[in-house]
Amino acid sequence: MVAVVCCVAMTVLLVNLYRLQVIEAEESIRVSNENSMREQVVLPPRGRILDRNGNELARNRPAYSICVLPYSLRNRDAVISSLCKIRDVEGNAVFDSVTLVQQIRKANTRKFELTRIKEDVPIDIVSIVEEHYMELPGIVVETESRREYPYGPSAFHAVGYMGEIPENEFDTLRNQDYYWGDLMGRAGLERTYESVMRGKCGREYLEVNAYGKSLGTVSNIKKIDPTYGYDLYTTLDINLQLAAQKAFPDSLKGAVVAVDPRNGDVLVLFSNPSVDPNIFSSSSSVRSKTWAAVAADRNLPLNNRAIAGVYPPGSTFKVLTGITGLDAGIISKDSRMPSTCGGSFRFGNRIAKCHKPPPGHGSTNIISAVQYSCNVYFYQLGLKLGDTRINKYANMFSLGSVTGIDLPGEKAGYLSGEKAYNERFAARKWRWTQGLVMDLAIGQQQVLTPLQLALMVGGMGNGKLIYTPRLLSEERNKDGILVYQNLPVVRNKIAVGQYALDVIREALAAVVRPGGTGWRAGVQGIPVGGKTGSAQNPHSDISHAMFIAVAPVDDPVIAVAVAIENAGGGGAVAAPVAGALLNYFFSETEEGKSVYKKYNPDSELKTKRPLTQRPALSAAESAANAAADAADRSESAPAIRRPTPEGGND
Amino acid sequence: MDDLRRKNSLDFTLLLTAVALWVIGIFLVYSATYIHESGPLAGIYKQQILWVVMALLIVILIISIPARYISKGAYAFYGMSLVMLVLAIATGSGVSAKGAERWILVGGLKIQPSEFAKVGLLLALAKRLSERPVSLYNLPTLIVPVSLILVPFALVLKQPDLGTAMVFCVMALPMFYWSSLTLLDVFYVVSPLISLLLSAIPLLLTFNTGESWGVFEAVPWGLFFLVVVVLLYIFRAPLYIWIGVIVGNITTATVTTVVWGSVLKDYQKMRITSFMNPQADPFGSGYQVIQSKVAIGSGHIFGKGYLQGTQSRLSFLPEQHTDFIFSVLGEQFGLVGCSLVVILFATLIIKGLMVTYGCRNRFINLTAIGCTAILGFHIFVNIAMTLGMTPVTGIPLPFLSYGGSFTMTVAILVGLLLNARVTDQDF
Repeated sequence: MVAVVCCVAMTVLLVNLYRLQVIEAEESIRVSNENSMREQVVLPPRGRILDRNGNELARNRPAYSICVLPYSLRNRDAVISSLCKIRDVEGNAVFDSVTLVQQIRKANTRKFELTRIKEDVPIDIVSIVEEHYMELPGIVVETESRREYPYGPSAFHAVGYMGEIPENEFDTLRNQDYYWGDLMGRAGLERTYESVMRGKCGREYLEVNAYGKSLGTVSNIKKIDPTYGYDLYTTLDINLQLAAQKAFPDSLKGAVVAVDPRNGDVLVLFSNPSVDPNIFSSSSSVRSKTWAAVAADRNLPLNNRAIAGVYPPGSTFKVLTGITGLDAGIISKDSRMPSTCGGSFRFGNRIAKCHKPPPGHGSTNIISAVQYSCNVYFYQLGLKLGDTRINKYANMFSLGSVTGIDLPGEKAGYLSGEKAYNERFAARKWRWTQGLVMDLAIGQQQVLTPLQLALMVGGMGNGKLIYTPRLLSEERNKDGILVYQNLPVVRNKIAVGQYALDVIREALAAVVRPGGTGWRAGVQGIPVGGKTGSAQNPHSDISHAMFIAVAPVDDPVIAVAVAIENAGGGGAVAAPVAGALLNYFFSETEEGKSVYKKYNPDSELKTKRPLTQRPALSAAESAANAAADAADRSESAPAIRRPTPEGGND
Repeated sequence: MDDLRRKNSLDFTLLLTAVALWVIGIFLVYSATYIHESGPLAGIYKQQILWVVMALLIVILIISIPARYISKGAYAFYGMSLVMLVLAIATGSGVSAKGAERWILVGGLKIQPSEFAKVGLLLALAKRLSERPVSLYNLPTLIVPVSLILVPFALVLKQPDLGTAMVFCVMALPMFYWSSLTLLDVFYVVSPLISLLLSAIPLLLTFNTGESWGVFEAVPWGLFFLVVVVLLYIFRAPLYIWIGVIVGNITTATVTTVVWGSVLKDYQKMRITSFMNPQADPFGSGYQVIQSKVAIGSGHIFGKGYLQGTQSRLSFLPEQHTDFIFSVLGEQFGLVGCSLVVILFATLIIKGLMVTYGCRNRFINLTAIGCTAILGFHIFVNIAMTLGMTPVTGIPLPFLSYGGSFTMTVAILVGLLLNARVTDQDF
């Protein structure tokens, strides 16, 4: 009986062995291979972003996170209490037990995967953890690469920031080598050139044990090397940008743009207020905390005001009205308008004021009308030209449509006019009237971005072409070898006669000369052209300070637009920012210095002395400047008591 | 003459089989743990070598002890093992492994008293049964043997160590049968256990598949109960046996249903049923079973080769150096290796049975059948567990599993078996 039982038992065992090892073996072999093999995705280091002089605007730094592997976490409480003993240099505990318990409970749902419990841990904490590995079974330190922005908030709006992939975009991105939880560029260049800088993930097959510990690569499966992303060499000049930022009033909102009219290179792209993009690549707790504050900030620091802030151009638009009149042959350099400026202009039953109270500017020609920003002159010119003709030239000078800069989120702005106005305000039943042409002529009808204004004034200086603004200059691989060169692209051909250009340049130069409203933007030894603007807007009694400049005015290498919200007069507030920028450009940058040398072959440039410190002005010049300031202040006084269609930066 | 030589010479087949298995065990323990460069598992194969050497010494020692001295010391050994069991429970908080009070420290050595209790009970039962035969029809004869079992049984359950408790029962049955009970008597004794199983099977299956059996739940047990009644009637069992068997069967069946329905929590049920459907909880109760089956299955016919097992080398196999050592074997040596080891085990058991059949001395005879039962039960249950046929219980595989106390126990059992052949049987 006992023998029978034994035989049956033995047979049962052998039959089962045969079933498992022969009949069902295939499935087990497959599972066994999967068990011991992990596909490891190797993300190459992201390409850097550099400015035109090779300064790093974005780079990668190594970072460490502390992870838990629940399967090998044998004694949870002991590990938690050990972790809680770790203190940082200031003596604060790095971990707290309540959070740890929660995190470990969450991690337990995926026993064999690493779960981060502390991101971006300083190196001294990492070394403490590594020294005590034996007491911390189940705790692993993982190395990763994080984005770092050496210039912090200064370059934020151009460079952008990194963030986690939003859920709605993940569906399409998952087919393009992205994994849940990956970071990607969310704004700025980081976003536009995401695919260039990211590179392609590599894959290697690791033999891992049940604790997730890698035991080396699987030799018989070939690994796929990652393709490195390219470095972006941009057209920005970060030092020039810092100079502009320094001159920009910290507490005010606005933007500064500088463009090279010869090729569309964007030299400066600054928007205030800004955000430090480093917070977005720091640990998730810091990120979420700061993100909430940034997102709730009423000053909209994420908004790139240089390309997405739309402002009424105010008097800066007068140069466009002027060039239209000149090119259309309606005015000439010396022609004067029928009505002289007595402080106001009567059209029908409407009395439109000039900003200068009676006795007004008197009789002006185009030069002095631009120089003193006489409204009455441009009211009449606008009425003679009509909205269609003005807008034709506005389009020619790249206004009213997206410029095509390689940044996401650009706005087109709005160029009023009969058709556009009626469409825009159809809901409010507002109709276009001839009187509105007067507003259009002095820049109180449109809304435009600072970048568009910079292109416009650059185009007037250049006289032939307007190039599509661009931030990307070159893409280079990790060995520094040129992979792609971004050649200038012509955006607009300027079909304006030489006479009109010459006259308008003279007018622009007059604005910056002593006695002009923009005298603060002058650079000694360089003929700078500019135009102030103090744009009224429905949001505040204090006008937006606008200033556009181009230098040298007859053969420009730089065009600048400054917009400062609710700051007052363009000459007093915006022009100094442009002045500081231009002075830095011509005294510190290689390009500016060579131009300066061309214009001042005799004078040895004393680099130590900033150009802003001019020789003492003559008494007459001082008086003229004072008068100009008065004009600038009064320019900002409301000329038209009527809400403009749109203003400010909404 | 021939008869004499057979009885008084060392059974080399048995000895060599045991040694071969121990050597295989050392290699398997090495391959299961060599990946650990530090920590508690590093280098434990050396420890196992030491255990095996000690085991051989114990075998030699036991062979050289005349059986009558063993017989005389049986109760003393039993008493000692009980004391150790009590100590383990009393000092339970001292060393706890897997949360169970299973160890006591003797001069730095960790000793598992439940292992020695197996030997203690074996010797005591053999001694008692060899002196006074038991009979179901003379109840007082059962009192002492049943008490002998119940005391260590209760102590081991307290630990709790269900596996060892089962070993006690399984060892006792053939010994009772060998002693004097008929097959029918054994059936009467076992029938409540069968009732338990049969009433549990529909519940387990319902829990596992979620499909209720309805009234058919009672069918398997009902049929069995009918068979029991018919047998009782045919063989004209005395009244108290009628009452005892029927009450016993009904009680276990009822208790099973009640316990399953209202006492056990879902996770406990899960643990019990996980061997039937390990995929239900792949990272929990089913994990060991899945990994073990994958290891053995992926070994295919010739295995992945020594030290080439990915499952074991990469630590996917839990408890691979102790309870799941057979999976290590299966993965690295495939069907061929497994069959070889199973045949070695079979040789051992058959040899054990042959010893039993060849002995005239009742004490030696009962000891031998007990030894064979203990070994056979361990071997079958452990291998069946690694193949996913039975629930995961803490029953190690003789000769192959790592462990000091267990290796010593196996050595004693082998020694006793060998002793039966060489010893003077007239006392």
